[in-house]
Amino acid sequence: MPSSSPARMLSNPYLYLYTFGSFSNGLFISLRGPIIPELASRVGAASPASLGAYLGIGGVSGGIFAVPTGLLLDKADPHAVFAAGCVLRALSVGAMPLCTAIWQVNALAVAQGATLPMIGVSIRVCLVRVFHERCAAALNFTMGAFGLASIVAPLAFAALDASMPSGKGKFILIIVWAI
Amino acid sequence: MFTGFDATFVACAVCYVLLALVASVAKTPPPEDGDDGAARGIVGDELGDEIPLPGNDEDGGGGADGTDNRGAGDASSSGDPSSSGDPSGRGDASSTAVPLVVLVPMVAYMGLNVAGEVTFGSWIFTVARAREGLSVSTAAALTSTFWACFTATRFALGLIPDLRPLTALAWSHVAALSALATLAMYWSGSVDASGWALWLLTGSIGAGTAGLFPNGIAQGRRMFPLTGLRQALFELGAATGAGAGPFLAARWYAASGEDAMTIAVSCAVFLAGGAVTLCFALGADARLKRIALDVLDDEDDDATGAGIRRPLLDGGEEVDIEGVMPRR
Repeated sequence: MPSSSPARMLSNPYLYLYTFGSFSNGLFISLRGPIIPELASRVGAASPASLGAYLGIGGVSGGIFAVPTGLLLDKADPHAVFAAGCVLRALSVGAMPLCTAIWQVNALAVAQGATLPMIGVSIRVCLVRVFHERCAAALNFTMGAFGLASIVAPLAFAALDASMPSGKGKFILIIVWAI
Repeated sequence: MFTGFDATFVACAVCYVLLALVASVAKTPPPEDGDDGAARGIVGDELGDEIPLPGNDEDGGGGADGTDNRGAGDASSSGDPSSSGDPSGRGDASSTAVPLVVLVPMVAYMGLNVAGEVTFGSWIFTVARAREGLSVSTAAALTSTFWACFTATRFALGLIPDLRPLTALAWSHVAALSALATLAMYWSGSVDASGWALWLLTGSIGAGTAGLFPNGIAQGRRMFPLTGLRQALFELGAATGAGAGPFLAARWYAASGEDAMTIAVSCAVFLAGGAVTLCFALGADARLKRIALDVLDDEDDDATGAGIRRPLLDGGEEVDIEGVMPRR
């Protein structure tokens, strides 16, 4: 029986790549709640409850795209799927502040939901490949980052909201740099 | 105006781009090879015993065309469409069809466990305010306690040496179900406790539910090769549970006149259902192993018989050991 030494697991750089992937999923899901009031006012929604469809579409999209993503992962390179999911999420999340109508955020929710299995399932496929018999420990550790992001994200949002200076130019500069 | 709202999304986008860059540069880990018993049609138990599945040897076996690979099928196979031969070797793990009697309960298991976890995490804020009269900030802190215990337990489980998935699952179920049962009794009024009990039980439920999903995946890997499609089915089950669980619990909560106990009982029912489906999957897996062993024993008997008979029939001039040697 191979030893599942935590030190050996922690010394594998892949663990941190997939942990950050899991963190990014938690970040994305946990931010959807706190941003609702501001997003509602930006897109001209009558009330924050009007954005219930945005939250629902994201969840349904994640479920719908799970199986095609799984089939894709059996045919394609899992890191390519992982990277594609990250790029799609970067674009769909980066475009959120530019939305001016509810249909636009709903359309982005479809893309954002699709990235959940693209990132989540691909990192789990890779974790099982990397850690073989010790994948249970690695899965536990990696998915712990999801919970950590769920705790950090609302706090980070509140901190940024309270301290961020204004300036559209800086926003555009960061967007360009990100892309 | 560039506000914190914009900054949050920009920061996230930057993080995702960086992650994509690292993921595209990092070498993709190869598919599970000979180290992985399941991928080459071998089932293993908690003691590390390995039993090759008949009809699943290296020259194709039963999996390549999606047919039953269990040797003596008494149940349908999944007919996994991804199981067609892949000369690149990329699809090695998918070349073994998984019996539905194991896969379906495991997918249901994921759904039920996530339903219990998300239902509690979603409703504890509202229920604690209504039942206990907590302020918004205190109820928020209670919710955070749940997620903090959940997160800490996941990291802790990752650092325990030689932790077997089934052991983690058993203890997780015991912790979560006993805490939920106590909470249900507390909210029903049959148990008197101080306000700290709510915090302690909430933390215990968070710790108990933390290991269910990751260790469920790891346990699934011990039963069958985890291809992308099968992991995606787990994800689909979890997404369904995350959607259906809070909805169903809310319906019962409303129908009961907002009785807090219904939320705790709903979560307990989901987790108990998860434990039952896991038992179904483990039972089916064990049954298939027994069938595989019986078939192997029969093959060994036939092979040994041929090996003994042939030299006798040939007058002892040539010893043909073909019958007793494994064919490759």
